[in-house]
Amino acid sequence: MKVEELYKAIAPKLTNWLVASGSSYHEACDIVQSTFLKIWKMRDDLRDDEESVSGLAFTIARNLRKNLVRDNSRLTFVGEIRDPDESESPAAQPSALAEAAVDKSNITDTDAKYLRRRLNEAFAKLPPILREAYTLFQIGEMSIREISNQTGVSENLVKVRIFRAKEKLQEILSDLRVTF
Amino acid sequence: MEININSNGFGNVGLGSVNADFVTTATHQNVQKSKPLNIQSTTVDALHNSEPVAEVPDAALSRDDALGNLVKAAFNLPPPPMPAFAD
Repeated sequence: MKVEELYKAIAPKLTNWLVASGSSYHEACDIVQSTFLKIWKMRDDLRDDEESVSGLAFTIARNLRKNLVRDNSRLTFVGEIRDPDESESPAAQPSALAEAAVDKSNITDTDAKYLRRRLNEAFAKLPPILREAYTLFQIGEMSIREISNQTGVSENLVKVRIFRAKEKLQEILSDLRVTF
Repeated sequence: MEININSNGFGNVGLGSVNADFVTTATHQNVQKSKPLNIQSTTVDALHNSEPVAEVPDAALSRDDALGNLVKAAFNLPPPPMPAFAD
């Protein structure tokens, strides 16, 4: 696959995973672009399958993010998300949101922004190992096997971590009145 | 659970023990039973990470449940423009 095709397939989930992992949107965008510039330089040595390149992209992005944190000491987990639309807007009604979320076409930008803030706050309350497993699974769209390779633990343990993360998130977000 | 006490008095509990009700340590002078672990099964991962591991049904790992839909709706930001790839 060409790097351009890989970018189209991987960049959206990598961007959102970085935002869910505590980066601002602009930082996530910088990291994604830097990641793919590195991948492009390695293009002759890449295996010809999306899964292996995706794993490589997440590893590079994770390291770039660590370096940013180390160099700038300014990444924080909550409250620093800058969306493309940075204007302040009133919080949506949770109960209405919950119904709307079932049909994603009903979600407005304001709703999504509110949900992102609530979910980032909820992710911040999870132990890091649970947060990592869940966000890689749900937002990074990785398979259990890929997460196992990324995190160096067994597939069974990955499943347990995702399951526990879901349980805790459902508890934390119970006021959204979603039937989990 | 079967506990073997060696001649030197130390308990012999192997990795990957299943249905462990308790862990016993023994010395010449003292045999002490710790509180129950309440773990159905353990693996090497569990022992290394202090995380008990049990079977999780695949249905419990759906990405398309209510929580998954919330997350998908929230984290739907567009990626940045593709960088110009050039040497």
